[in-house]
Amino acid sequence: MQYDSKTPIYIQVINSIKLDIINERIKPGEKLPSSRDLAVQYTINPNTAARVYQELEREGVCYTKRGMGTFVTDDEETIIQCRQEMAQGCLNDFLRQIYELGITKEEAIELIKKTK
Amino acid sequence: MLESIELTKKFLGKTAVDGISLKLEPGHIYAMLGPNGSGKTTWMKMAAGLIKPTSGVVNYNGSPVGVDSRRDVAYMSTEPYFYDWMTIGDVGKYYQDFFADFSMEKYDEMLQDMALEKKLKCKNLSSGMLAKLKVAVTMARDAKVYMLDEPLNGIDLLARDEVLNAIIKHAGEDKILLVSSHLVEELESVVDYAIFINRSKLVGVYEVEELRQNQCISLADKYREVFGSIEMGGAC
Amino acid sequence: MGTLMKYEFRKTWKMKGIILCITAFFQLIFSISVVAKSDGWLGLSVTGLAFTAICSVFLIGVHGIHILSRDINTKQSYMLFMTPNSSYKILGAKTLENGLSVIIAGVFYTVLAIADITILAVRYDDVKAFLDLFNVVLKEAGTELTAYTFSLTMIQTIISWVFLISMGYLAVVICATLLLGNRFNGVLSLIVFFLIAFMVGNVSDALQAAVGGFSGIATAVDAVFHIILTAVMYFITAWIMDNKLSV
Repeated sequence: MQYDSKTPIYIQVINSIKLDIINERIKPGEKLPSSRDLAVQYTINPNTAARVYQELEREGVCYTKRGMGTFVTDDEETIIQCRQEMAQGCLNDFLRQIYELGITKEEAIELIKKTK
Repeated sequence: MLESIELTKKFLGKTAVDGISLKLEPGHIYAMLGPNGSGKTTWMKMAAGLIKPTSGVVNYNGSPVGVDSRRDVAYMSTEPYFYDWMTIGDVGKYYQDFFADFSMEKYDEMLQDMALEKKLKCKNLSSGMLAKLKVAVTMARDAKVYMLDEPLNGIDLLARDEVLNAIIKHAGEDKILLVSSHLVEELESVVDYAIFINRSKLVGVYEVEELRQNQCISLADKYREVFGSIEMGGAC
Repeated sequence: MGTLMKYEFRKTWKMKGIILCITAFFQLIFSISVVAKSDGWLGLSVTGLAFTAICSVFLIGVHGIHILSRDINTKQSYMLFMTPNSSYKILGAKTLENGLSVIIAGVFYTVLAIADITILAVRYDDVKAFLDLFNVVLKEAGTELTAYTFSLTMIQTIISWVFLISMGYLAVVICATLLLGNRFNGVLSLIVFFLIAFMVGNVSDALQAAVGGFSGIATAVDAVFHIILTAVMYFITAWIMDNKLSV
């Protein structure tokens, strides 16, 4: 995976995992790789990988079963909420760029409607 | 813990390492970065106990490095160093003969991953194959400290992934990993800390995620800033 | 230590194998020509054997010094010095392996020479007559050529050669440490080498004269003297390596 240069790497990995969960590439309740395997999979530092799981757990997206590993939450509410948060993030980025171009929100909506 | 205190090495009037004090703690992967000839190799060789410092000292767990620390330290030099008569298999046997923590199984596994055949003679290997062999035989040890000098030099993209994977797999709470390179980007996501060395002196030690979080700047950009004196990043 | 010696042997066995093959070749010619009474071939094989014997004992020692030089001056030095072995062990393995090789080669050629000369004396009356005449001359000088005196001389030669090799080790290590970067590095260490060799030679001669010329006891005294000196050289060399050597 290519990492952009301004955002912390752990946040980029978290977003990538969340995206996989939202797209159901990873199913609810599914077991996630161990943090060492996650580190290898994403070519990241093992401490960063551990931090990724800590954050995902804190947000309730994942949970740890003692001695079993880390699993994706079964709670669909959490996943839907996660999706909304990410969508909001995309919108914010989009609007910031659009405003920089001097385009208003209304004009932007028109543009979106016209775009196929 | 591996610690260098006011470490200095002079070669015939040229100072290769100039008063570097540095502490490496277990549980972390460190990158040692700097232009060629900045003193990275000399520092590592002193830490490996191969070169005697002109002044200062390197301590491993509180006592100066030497014969005993070599049991725990797996050092890989950037130059090839195997005997001419050796085959890849002989290299493994040699390590098995001298290092209690060497695992032949792990070695075989890594050779397979890197597509190296045991019966090949070291003398006839290409530089890329030699580079892979060095990493394989060094990482087949279950050492407490790994010091890899330019492990990414001269190897293709796929082998680079293998090397980085091997580094990640070997990290652990009780292990110190130190990897030198002049390729900053390749190591950025893998290491926790980066040690910058320039003109024989320590410039600074930076935490990769901390740079991104608080300064909104990647390690590569920090490198450009420090070594190229170009103002980078800043806007969080 | 055993492992280190194994690898030291691994570095030299090719040369030793070649020497052994050449020796076997000349010995074969010797045996055939003795049976066939072919004087021309006999002369050639005896010359060949004598030459091989002297050269191989010399070469094994010099080759050992060359290997030490390579093992501390090239990148291959890491192979030894990254292992958890002290300089004392590393140098000890080299000294033992090389010393034993020289001694074994020396003993081997001594026994072979005695055997071949005995065969010649039995087979050729001329040779026996020559040896007798030779002994008459030697007796005038207060000694004689027997298997015993021949062996004593050989033992002395071999042991003093082992000592010279240990000095060669010292010279190589001094070159790579104390004199490193000195323009006259090679010449200086050569001078030191010859100076010590000359002094030791004189002391050895004086010692022998004091004990009373050529005898079993004198040889034993001389051997002990050289063995002690070899040990001293070994400790000095290893100490320098441990404290000063950067590979």
